[in-house]
Amino acid sequence: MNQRDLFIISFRFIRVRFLESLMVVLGLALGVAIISSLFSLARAYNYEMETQSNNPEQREIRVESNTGLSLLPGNKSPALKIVDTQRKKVIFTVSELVKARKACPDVEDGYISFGTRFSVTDTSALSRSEIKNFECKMVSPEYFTANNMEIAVGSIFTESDIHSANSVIVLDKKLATKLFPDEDSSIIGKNITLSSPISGGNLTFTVIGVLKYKNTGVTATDPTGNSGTAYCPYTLSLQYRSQKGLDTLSFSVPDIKRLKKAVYQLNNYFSSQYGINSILIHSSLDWEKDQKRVIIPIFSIITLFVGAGLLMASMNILNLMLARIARQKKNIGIMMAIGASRFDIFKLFLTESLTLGVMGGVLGCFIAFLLSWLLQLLLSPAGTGGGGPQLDVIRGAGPEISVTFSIMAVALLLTLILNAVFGIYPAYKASRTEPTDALRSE
Amino acid sequence: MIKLENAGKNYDLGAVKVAALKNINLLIEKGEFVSIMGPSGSGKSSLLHILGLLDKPTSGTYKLENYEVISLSDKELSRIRNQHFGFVFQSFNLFSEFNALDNVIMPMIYAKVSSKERKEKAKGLLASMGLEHRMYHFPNMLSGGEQQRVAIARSLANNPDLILADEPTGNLPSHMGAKILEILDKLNKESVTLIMVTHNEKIGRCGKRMIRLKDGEIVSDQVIKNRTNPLTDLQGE
Ligand SMILES: Nc1ncnc2c1ncn2[C@@H]1O[C@H](COP(=O)(O)OP(=O)(O)OP(=O)(O)O)[C@@H](O)[C@H]1O
Ligand SMILES: [Mg+2]
Repeated sequence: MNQRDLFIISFRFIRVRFLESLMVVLGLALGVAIISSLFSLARAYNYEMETQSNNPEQREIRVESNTGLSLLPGNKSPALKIVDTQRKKVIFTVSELVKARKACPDVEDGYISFGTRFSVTDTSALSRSEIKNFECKMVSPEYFTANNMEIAVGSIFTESDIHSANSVIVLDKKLATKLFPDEDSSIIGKNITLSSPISGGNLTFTVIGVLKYKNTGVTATDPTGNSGTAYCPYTLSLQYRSQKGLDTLSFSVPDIKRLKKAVYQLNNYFSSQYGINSILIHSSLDWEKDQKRVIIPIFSIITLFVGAGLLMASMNILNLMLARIARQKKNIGIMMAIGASRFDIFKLFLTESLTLGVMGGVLGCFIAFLLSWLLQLLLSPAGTGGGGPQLDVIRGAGPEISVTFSIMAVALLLTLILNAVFGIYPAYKASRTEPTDALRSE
Repeated sequence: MIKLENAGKNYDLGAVKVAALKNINLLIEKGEFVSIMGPSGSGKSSLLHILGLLDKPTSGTYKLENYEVISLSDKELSRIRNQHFGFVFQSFNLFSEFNALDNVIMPMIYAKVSSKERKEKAKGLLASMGLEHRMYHFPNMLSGGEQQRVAIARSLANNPDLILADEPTGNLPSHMGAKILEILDKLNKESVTLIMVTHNEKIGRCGKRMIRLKDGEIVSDQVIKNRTNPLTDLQGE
């Protein structure tokens, strides 16, 4: 019997037992669909994590003095906090930054950054602006290169600006257009008077540069990101705080893949400098760990349920295939009488179940597409509502649940393997039928 | 040439052992028309299945032409069944999923006959059985006699040397049985060897040789002197 005849005959048996075949096909289709959807969900989540971690913020490592009071997440601490008053607060210097950078090859750039919030006091100069306050980062010039920020007009601050703590300010494009809706290049040289929450006093800044627009894709992690950000020399902050040094140093890695190594190197360096436990290192690894602590059990449970469901479906299919063979017993006997070998019978039934498997797989892919489309619809960012301005940040960064061809191929392969296993046993059983018994049966 | 020597068939049912056939010695030459008779349970079907290579004796030897059957592989056995044997059963045993034409085509599929050739052959065989108007009927649309003629057509698909018929008329009214025997007799005249199991004495006497079984043993093996002529003697019964 050649392949074509084999296929024609098995297809005929499938058609004759349509309802039964349909059940097998549907069972397999659901299996493929569920596996594919699960994979795409996992993939979407992974993609989320990756795009998140490609943000400059995720590539940042902060080193700070361990005061024994830290309540930051990731710092596993007992509920009752014992304040270690003996512990000396470490104050970093700028030269420290340079040295640490040299000691740790995976740290691309060290920079200094404090966040503060300025209120706009001089409304006369900014009559058209609706912004009352905004985020201002007090940084060292390295901050701009570390975060791939490019200047659009004007310039960033120089070493001498840092040195003499000049009140100069660089605005990002967003803030610039919000503060000065009508102007562009003429912004440079303008003065804005702002009040600081730290000192309470007013300070007049000169705008020296505007950054190029850059969609960082930062979302929930940046609660103040909606009105734009300004940058000024970090030495201004030291002035406000009347401190001799810095309590935080910031570093970043050029590639998120090097984060782990960099954290390790920094930890080694600072531990050797100040002693173990005297400094704390924060990075998005802490956040990721937290995320994974929640998400992994959830995925495990879903996978468990899906697995159990699939197993049940498979048993059902096995059962159906065995029942099918029991009902075909007489036909098997006749086939043997007219010249079928046991191997012919085996091939026939295997072809039958593989045909059902392929049909189930194809239908399953179709259902998977529908399912992923439905999931996408349910999880789309439009549903989150949120604040108006936040939407355009979120858009494009929402979870993208789609069944890719590789996922489909894997799911199909899995189902086919499963199907082959559950096809081989019944086909083998069929081939072991005794023709005399089969012919005696009615 | 078929040669059974001391052949026996035991069914082992755990506690009990059923001896379906005991000490069978049998020689059947080409062109014979052998009727096998005997009461129910005497082992007629068992013997026919062994002769037809659907089963193997549990003792003794079976020689087919020059082959020792016990040493043949499943593939070789199936090839012999396909190329040289034709089976006809009491309950017709057609594939209910296939129409008459496809039923006749089936053995030729196993024989790897080209699809055009086998279709022509099947049509010719059905026509020779007087079924040219029933080719696309499914078994459940055919009368018993028609079904049995389809089954005979199917058994002839690969030009067999031997036809094994297990009560071919058992499920048919006598006038249809007569027709079937007429066909079988004609085939025998065309030098096809025939082995036919039957309950009916008169039908049994259509053969040239009569073997009687009782409790799995051959109790008589005789040449039939006054044969029944299916054309005249079986009509109107
Ligand atoms: N698979 C089996 N297992 C056990 N015993 C069996 C089996 N097949 C047949 N037998 C026994 O073998 C004996 C012969 O059976 P067989 O079918 O050959 O009889 P038969 O002469 O064809 O009878 P009938 O005229 O009713 O068809 C019977 O006693 C039967 O019960
Ligand atoms: Mg019988």
